[in-house]
Amino acid sequence: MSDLQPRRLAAIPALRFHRPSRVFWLAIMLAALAVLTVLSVAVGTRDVAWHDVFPALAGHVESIEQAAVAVRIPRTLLAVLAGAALAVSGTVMQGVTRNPLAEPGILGVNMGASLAIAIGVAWFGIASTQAFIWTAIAGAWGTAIFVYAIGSLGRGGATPLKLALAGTATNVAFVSLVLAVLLTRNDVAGGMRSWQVGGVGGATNDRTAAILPFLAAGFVVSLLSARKLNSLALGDDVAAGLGERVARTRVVASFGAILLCGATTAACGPIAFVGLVVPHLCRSLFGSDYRWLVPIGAVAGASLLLVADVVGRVVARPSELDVGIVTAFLGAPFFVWIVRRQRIREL
Amino acid sequence: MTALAFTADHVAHGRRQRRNTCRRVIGCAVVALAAAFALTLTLGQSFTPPQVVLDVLLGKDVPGASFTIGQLRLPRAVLAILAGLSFGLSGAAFQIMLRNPLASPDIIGISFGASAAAVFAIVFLSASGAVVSLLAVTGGLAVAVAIYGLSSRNGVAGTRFILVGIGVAAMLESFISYTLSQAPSWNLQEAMRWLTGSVNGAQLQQALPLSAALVGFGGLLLSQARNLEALRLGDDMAAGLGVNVARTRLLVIMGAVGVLAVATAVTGPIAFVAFLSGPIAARLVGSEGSLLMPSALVGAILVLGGDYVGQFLLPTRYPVGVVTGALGAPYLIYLIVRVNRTGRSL
Amino acid sequence: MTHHRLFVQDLAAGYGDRNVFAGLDLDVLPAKITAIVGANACGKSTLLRAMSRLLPPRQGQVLLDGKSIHTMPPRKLAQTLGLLPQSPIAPEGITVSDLVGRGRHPHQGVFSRWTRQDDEAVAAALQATNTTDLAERPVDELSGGQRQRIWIAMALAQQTDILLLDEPTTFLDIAHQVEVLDLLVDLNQTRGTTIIMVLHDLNLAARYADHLVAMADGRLHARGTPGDVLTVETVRDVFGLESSIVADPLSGRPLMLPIGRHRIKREEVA
Repeated sequence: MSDLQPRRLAAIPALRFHRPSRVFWLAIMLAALAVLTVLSVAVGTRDVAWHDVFPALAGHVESIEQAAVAVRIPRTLLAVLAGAALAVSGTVMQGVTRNPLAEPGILGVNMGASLAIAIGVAWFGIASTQAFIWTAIAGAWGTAIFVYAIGSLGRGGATPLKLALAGTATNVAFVSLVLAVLLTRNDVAGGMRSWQVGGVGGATNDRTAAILPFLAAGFVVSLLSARKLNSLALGDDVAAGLGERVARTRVVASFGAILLCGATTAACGPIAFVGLVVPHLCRSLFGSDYRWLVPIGAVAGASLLLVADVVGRVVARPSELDVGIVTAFLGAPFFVWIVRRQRIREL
Repeated sequence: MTALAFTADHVAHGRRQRRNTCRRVIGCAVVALAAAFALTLTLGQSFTPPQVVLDVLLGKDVPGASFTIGQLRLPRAVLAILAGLSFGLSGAAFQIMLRNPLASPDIIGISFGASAAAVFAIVFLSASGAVVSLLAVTGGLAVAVAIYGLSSRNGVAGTRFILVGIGVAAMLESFISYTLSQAPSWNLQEAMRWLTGSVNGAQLQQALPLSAALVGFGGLLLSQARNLEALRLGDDMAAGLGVNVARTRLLVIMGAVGVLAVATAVTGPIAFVAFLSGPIAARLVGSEGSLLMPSALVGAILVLGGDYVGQFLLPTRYPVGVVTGALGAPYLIYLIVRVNRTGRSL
Repeated sequence: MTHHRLFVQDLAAGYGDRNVFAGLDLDVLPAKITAIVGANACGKSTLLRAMSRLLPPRQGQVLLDGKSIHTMPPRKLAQTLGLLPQSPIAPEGITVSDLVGRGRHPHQGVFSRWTRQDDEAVAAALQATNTTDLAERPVDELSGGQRQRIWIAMALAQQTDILLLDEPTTFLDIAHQVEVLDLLVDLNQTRGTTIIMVLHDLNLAARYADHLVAMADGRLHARGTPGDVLTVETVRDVFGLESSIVADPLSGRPLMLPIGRHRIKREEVA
């Protein structure tokens, strides 16, 4: 009982004195996000003076500088949405699996989406954005179920080690299959290859609009599942004892998470580690109440992806690094740090 | 004491039987490998009579056949065998040491180190040949050292090693995708060919570093075979049996990474051979004796056979890595299911 | 027959930054059964790990016949000191006699072949643990109690004079617990093996051990014969539990009866 109580208490509304500080931090983070958004529009491979930024934001494209800014707007929008979606997706996945290493990238879900898209493009000739999104979501959904199912077989359920290995092995297998599919279709290989890095560089407002309904649905489902995830955090048996329908909660919550990461992957390609890093940081700062972690994670994820995108534009001038590689290089050390922190028995 | 003698006979009998099974399997594998070798030498695009093949191997100059066999088929087959032995050996060593068949070096990031370095060299430095190989070896070793260092905290625990490897693999994978997306088309072909893993364009002098690595690092691995077997009982139990666990682990990692890096440098990372050989060998051999030799032989058969299939038995020519990759992916998935269900090691 | 002696001298060991215990001395009685008891997390398993060199000492040493076990060649140590850890792993598909044969590891060199002596050691271990009939069965198919006997057989095949066991009875039902402990007494009586084990169950420890070591908060709280150690005071200090000690009518050893808050006839306790 003793280790249950603190967490249970955190979920009890009577302890309101925590909340003002969370509201405060949420406000700060929203402000930071706003600043980053402006920064993302203003900073890039080409230097743009401030007197060009504001007209461009108002819709003027009269100089090259203003045109450059105009291109950055959809990109910034997509980065904000994608970052929020991936972070929330990771948060929910970690909650559903009670596993600190659960993340769309590590679990192979992103690669599942890639494989589905590769097969769709190469063999079924899908081309429309809608078809892309549905294919990606189907692939992500199938892979998530598959990886979780095989990761939780056997003794001890889905331990971090088993789940991570199942995800990575599936990932490796899918990489091989994607390669085999692409080898038969050289014409689509080039497009797939640049998509596979994961980036927001090619964003258009149309594409963002196409994934918007999916993201909205995913966010709503995640927010609604947050309270149930709090119960699930205490273990399946305790959650069931608290009157939660465990299996249904899992299915619904992970469906939300997969809507989010599937749609994001369709639009941006696989972006790894955002879903891992953000929930961890938020949890260490704001505790383990999912009703707060989901919205805070969204804001933090959006900020992180914006930062990564801006960094990618600045470090490799005059060219730019895709955001997928920046997050990988930021996230992998973080992943290693988490692994080192865990006690061996818990892995 | 007669009861004891009786039981001892019984024990000895059972042990001999299992050992003989093991020897029989090794014998069969050697015969199969020799047969595959003979087949690849005699039957390619055209048929060369065995007599002619022998003549060429013995150094006689036969017009036409000397080129086809001496320059094309023989180097290819020899390289395939050596690379297969290396991959099989290193994969099984990792799997046994980490007590997890999924923890083969091509899954937990070691191979990615070599790949990342090679692709970088090809795309950004426009390097080729020996430079790429050298960088690949260096990259593989460097990544192995990094994973080992990052996972050591009061000694290296197997689970932590695997997970750190996974993290590093994810990072390198993204680096490789990025490098490929930046590649101009003339380098892209080369990089992709390298990443797929093949023995196309094999030359006999490439066999030299491979054999040297096999003798040196492979010998190191085989010298640890008995300690590796003890490690299968768990780190604590192995220590109780007088195995210096930390030293054994270090030596095994050195040996396995050594053969793997050199083989990868020569042929590229031929998908799943390191991963598949150990479990297949375990199926054939059973629990008596070390898995290292059988696994190495299985690896050689896989590469040689896969290359033959890719060259002649499919509608288009594929490099061996595509064949082993397409075969390996479903088996990998099957194996994850089986391993997790029984919760067991190799 | 002279017996090897194991001494713990001013020993400190622990994990991370924390010492689990420090300044600990213990003289293990040769050819006797010693049981280490104590509450959860009192350091009893850590002590056993340090005594079997699974854990390096922070300070002090563990001496086998006057020589530090941490500087001895590991193979040589393993010929004298055997260990059965809490959760050993049986490789998939391995047969019983093969697994028991793994206990011969420290007696075989890199190139040495399997000898008649090895076979006889395995046979003797199988007979001693009454598992001869299981010899050709795969370990995977055995029950928990059978498996534990196999692991003990493996430790026997190692033919060491001293045997350390970390909670050999966990996960076993009461009948199998008794069976395993009986087996250890057999071993102690027929071969004179010195046995040191961590046990959870106080009453089983008092019944089977010649010597009890009670640990609390990283200190040796009491040691001696079960009659000396298993007292109302020790149980109170070590476990924080009120109890009553009676003589076990079957063995004459002390038997601890816990006193909770309920279901006690008050006049009996007073």
